[in-house]
This record gives sequence, C-alpha cells and structure tokens, in this order.
Amino acid sequence: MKNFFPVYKKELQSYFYSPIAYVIIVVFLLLAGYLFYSITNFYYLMSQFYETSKYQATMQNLDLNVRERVFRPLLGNFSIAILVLMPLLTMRLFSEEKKTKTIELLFTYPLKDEDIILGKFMASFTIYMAMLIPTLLYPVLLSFFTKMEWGSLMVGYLGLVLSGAAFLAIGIFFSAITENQIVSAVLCFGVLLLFLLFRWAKEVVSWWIGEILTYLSFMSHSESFTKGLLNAQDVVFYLTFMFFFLFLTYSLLSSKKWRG
Amino acid sequence: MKYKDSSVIAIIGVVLLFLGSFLYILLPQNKIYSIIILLFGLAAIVFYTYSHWKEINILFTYHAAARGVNFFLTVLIVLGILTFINAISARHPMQIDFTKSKKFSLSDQTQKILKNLNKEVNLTCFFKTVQPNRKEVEDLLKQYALYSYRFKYKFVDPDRKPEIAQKYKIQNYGTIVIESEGNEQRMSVIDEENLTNALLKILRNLKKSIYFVKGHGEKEITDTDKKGYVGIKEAIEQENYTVKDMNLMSEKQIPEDCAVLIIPGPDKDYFDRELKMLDQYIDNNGKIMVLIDPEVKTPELRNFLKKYGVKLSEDIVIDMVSGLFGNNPFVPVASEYPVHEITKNFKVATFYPLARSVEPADTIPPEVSINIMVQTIPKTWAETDLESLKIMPPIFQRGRDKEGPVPVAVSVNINQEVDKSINKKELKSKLIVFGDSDFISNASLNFAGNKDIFLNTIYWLVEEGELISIRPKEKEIQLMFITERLWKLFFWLPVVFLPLVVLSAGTFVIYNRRRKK
Repeated sequence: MKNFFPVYKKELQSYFYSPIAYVIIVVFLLLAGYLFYSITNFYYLMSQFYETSKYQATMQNLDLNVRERVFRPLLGNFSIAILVLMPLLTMRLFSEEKKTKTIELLFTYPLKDEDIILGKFMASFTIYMAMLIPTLLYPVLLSFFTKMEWGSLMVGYLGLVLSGAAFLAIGIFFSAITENQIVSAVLCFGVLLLFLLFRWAKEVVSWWIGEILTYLSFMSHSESFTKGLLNAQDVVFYLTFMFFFLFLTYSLLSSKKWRG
Repeated sequence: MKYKDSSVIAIIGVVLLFLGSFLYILLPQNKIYSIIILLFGLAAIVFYTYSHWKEINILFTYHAAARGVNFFLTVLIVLGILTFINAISARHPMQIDFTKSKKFSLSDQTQKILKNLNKEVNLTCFFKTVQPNRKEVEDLLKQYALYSYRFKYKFVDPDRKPEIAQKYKIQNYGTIVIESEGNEQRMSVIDEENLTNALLKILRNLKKSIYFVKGHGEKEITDTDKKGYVGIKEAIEQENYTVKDMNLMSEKQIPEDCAVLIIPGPDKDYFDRELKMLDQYIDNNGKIMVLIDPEVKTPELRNFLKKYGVKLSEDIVIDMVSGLFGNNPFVPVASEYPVHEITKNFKVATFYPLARSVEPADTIPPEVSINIMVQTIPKTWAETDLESLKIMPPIFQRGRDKEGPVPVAVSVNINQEVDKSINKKELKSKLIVFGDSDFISNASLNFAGNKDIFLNTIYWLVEEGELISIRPKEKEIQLMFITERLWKLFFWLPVVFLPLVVLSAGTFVIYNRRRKK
C-alpha cells in the first residue's frame, strides 16, 4: 500500500494545473468568508447590546459565547457547502481516466488497485485540506477580539475533516461507476443529499426503518462536533462510511466487468 | 455446483450479522439473543472463508479470476462487519467534552441513574418549533438519551398538533411530560437537576400514599367547597403520590403504604384507641402532620401532642396589620422564616386563616428535638381572651396575650435510643404541627406560598433524601470587543483578501504552466 505516492503526486499535479481545484477553493472561501462575516456581525451586535442592555439577566441564559453563537452555526453551514462541493472535486478522478482510456495504461503499472484508489483519495483529500485550512484565519482573527475555546473549535474542525473525507470516498465511488463526469457528480450529489434528508426519516417513516435511516443521516452525526463534543460513535460513523465506499470502489475496480 | 452451495453459507452469515446488529440496537433488553445470532453469523463467515480460502486468495491477487457474485458477496460481508462495529459503538457511548464549562456533560449522579435505568421513560416535550430554549433542551435530552436507550424523547409543537396538547392538558409552552409505567411527572423549568429529580420521582417503586384521617369533622379530600381539600389532594397527586382517606376506628393499624398521615383540622376529639394507633405508627417510623384549628375542644389530642413536646395554647393569632381578607384581623401572615430545613430557601409569604399558636412545650421529653418552623410577623399577637373577641375588636393586653412573632408551626424529630452507653440516638419518626388547617383549603391553597410550604413539609416528612442537587453549569459569556475601524477587517480579510490570494496563486500557476508549454 505504500506505493500510492506516484499516483498521489500525479493526481495532485493534475489538480493544481487545472482550474477546477482553484475555482472550488475560491468559491468555498467566498461563501465561507461571507458566512463568517455575517454570523460574526450578529455576534458583535449582540455583544454591544448586552453591555448596554437592561436584559442582562435574561440574556445570560442565551449562552453568549463564541462557540455557541459563531462557530456552531458557522461549521454547520460549512458542512452543507462542503457537501455540495465535494462531488465536483471527485467527479473526474476515475471518470476522466475511463473516458480517455488512460486507465488501461494505469493498470499496466506495477501498482495495486488499492494504491491507485488511495493515491487518488489522498490527492482529493489534500485539496480539501487546502480548502479548509485557510478558514482557520477566521478563529485566529476573532481571537484578537474575544476569548476563544480552541479545544472545542478543533473538535468542530475534526468533524468537518471526517465528514469531508467520507464525502470524498463516496464521490470516488461514483466517479468509478461511470465515465461521464456529470453523471458521476449528479449521482454523488443525489446520494449525499438523500442521506442528509434521512435525518427526518424518523418522523416520516414508522418503526425501525425510520430509526435506522435517521441513524444513517449525516446531520445526526455532525452536530456533536460543532458543540465541542468528541463522540466516539460519530467518529466511527464517518470512518465507516469512508472505509466502506473506498472498499466498494476497490471491489468495483477488481471485478472483471469493470475491466472488460 | 459445490461452490454455489457453500456461498449460501456466506450469504446466511452476512444476513445473520445484519440481523444481529439491528437486534442489538433495537432490542437491547434481549442482548443475549442478538449476541448469539451475531456469533452464528460470524462463525458462518469464518467457516466459509476458511473452506474457500484458496478461491478468496485468488480473488485478491488475480483480479481476472473474480466473479460478479463474489464482488457482491465480499461487499456484503464488509457491510455486515461495519454495521456490527457501529452497533457496538452506538450502545457504548464514549464522549469527551471539550467545552470549557463542560456544558454538555452530565453529572456522575445523572449518568449513574441513567445507566441503571430499568424502565422505559418517555418524554413528550411541548415546544414551539421556533422557541428560544428548544435547542438547549434538545441538547440536554440528547445527552440523557446517550446513556440509556430506555430514555426516549420527542418534540411536539402544540400549535401544529393541538389534539395531543389537549390530551395532555398542556397550558404553557415549554412543558415536558415524563411518563413511565403509568406514572407521570411534569416539568417547566428544564435543567439537569430538575430533570434528574423528576426521573427519580417517577421511578419510585412503591407508590407512596398520603392518608388524610376522617371521622372527627376533619376537612375532606372530596370536598370542593371553600373549606374543602380537593385542591390540595390534586396538588399532592401531581407530585406522584396517591392520596387516600381513612377512618382510624375502622382499621386495626395504619396501612403499610402510608408515607405520611395527616390530621386535617378535626373539631371533635380523638379516642384513646386512635391515639394509641398513632403512637404505634410513630414507633414504626411513621410520619404525622397535624393541622389543628383554634377553639376546637380536643383535650386528648392536645395531650397526645404534649407527649411529644408540642404545646397548644387556647388562643387565636391576631394580625391587625396585614389586612388580608378585607382587613380581617384573624388572618395572620408569615413572611420571614426561622432557620429551618424546610424553609431554607423559602422566600414567599404564607397566611393562615384563623390560627392558634403552636410552640415547644415547657418541658420537652428527652428523645424529642423540636424546632419552630413558621412564625407570624412581629406586629401580631396571640389573643388569649377568646370571650372578649365575641363582643369587641381585638385589643392587645400586655402580660395576658403573647406578643408576636407568634409561632404557628413546629417540626419535631422523634429519636430513639440505639446505644445507651454512648448515648447514641437514631431518628425514629417526624411530626409536624400547624396551628391552622384552612391555609390549604380550596379557597386559600393557590395564594402566596401556602401550597409550596405544605408540599415542602410533605417532602421533609417523606424524607425525599433521594432527591439530589446538581450544581448548574456556569454560564459562559464571552463578548467581543472591537473598534468600528478594526471591524472592517472582518469583511476585507475573509471575504476579499483570502479568496483573492488563492485566485491569484491559481492564475499564476496555470499561466506559468501554459507558458511553459
């Protein structure tokens, strides 16, 4: 499995020499930046109001702090934006190669299937990190003007990293299914949205099917991270998804049909 | 042929793994069944893997040998194992709280209670969909549910589902109804302490009963008139106690399930036999509350109380200052309470329509310790010239009348000697005496602190020691301090500068690349 590096390097170069990665990162940073600005604006106004307000006692109950008022909603919104953008990042990973038949060339190398998959996954993950890490500017900026809770913030970002990794794995699988990039992106997008909506399955579908579907929803497992809680169950959930879809991709790659 | 047959084993194994995992989550009370199924599933898969190791090996090294059905199978197996792992982690919660005030962690006491929960508890929370504290309550309930699958909750918007709100007779937004095995508790102030205590109350195994004595002209719990006790009966029932009445003459002894016996304002005296029953009840760790009005002729009962160190004087407490009930001088008010367990944090005033003084006797028996619980405001007095009250308004006569504050309620701890040599005593029973029975009648119950002081007294008698106090989490307030000028940074840096940097970097790299070509 250590041989993934050449694939990783090649894929990374491919990302950086084409506009797609930059466009996705810039779009995300624009969205994220604006979200940060407007959410912090509200928090700023609340702070001012609190100082001069007679309602200090009742406002005490609102937990006016950075974690609850800024980063919990902000990171929650991030995960939606990430959910939308990840399929765009992964759609070309296998589809393009299949279409241009370069995949044949890839198979002739002394590389195992798992190396190929891992390499591509790590490349997209690196782009994801390149997208996420600049947003750390926001808490750093905020830290000059208020007290920050770095521990819970890091847990929140960990949640994003894990969920993003899961989305990437799902995206890679759908990329491997078809040689049409658009189809891959749309399918991936559809599935991700569907799982998002499962959150409310409990209310709509009765008995245990509803319960299971709600458990499978991404929203059910992302909340704890944004609250500053490191919950083993939620970590396991995302790792499971990530591993399962990578494995699925691996099985797909190995099957004769795919190679035929 | 042979191959296909044995692949059935693998399929069965996977199905069993799935089944076992789901059962593990959904029917945790029968853990043993799901574990057995899981083990069978695991065994089937292991057997299959072992007997077809060669083929599986080929699958992993020579891709061309893979068959379609194997792809499906291995995927299913992996899915089964992953589901199994998730099931385990769902049932064994592990969590680290990184918040500074540990806001989302539950106290050890709560965790212990939840882990040992052996009954189903269902919470129905009547909140508007956009109510300010709904999220906070949901966060709290989620934490509770983490530690026990038997703790279930659901939110109902009373505006959207009025029929359900009707069924539960909900009057305010933000009410939670807790149900467990037919018992019910309601809450409106929702924090960890209240919720855990409500849980404790609702889980009480033996439903304790409060008995009201009848047969001597006492107040009746079925009486809906002004002087009746229907109101207080319902108030006690809301605290998850059963309320019954009993006639002492028709019983041999006080019933087993009697947690507190209340003597609610008799106007005829008690028989010797009945008083002996009370003595016996006290010896058996029973708790009694006596509400005795002025001017009743009950010498036997009075002597009974004297035996336990309580002195009842033939007087009426006069309050010319408070002016309750249309300047009625016979309704004294109490607003500040002596240091006492029951009235520790009690800040509300209480009033007693037609009361007599109740105080420690001049000689107190050795096994008794007595404390004054309620006394009227200083500008009152206990009028001893009852005859004069019939013809003229009350006048304070120094020397004859007792100057205020006048004690109108006492609590008595009755001990028994456990070890004579070291003078060790143990609490045997508790007794409360109020010099009035009308303060909790239907007409007066819902005013001032009357109901609350009565219920607090009940708790003290029943020894609700199981109820716990949990220190609330500190509220975290972190404000943002910034000048108007510097605030602009918050727009320019994240929204403009950062994306621009990436954009330029990208343009630069791609342009360079194109140029090289």
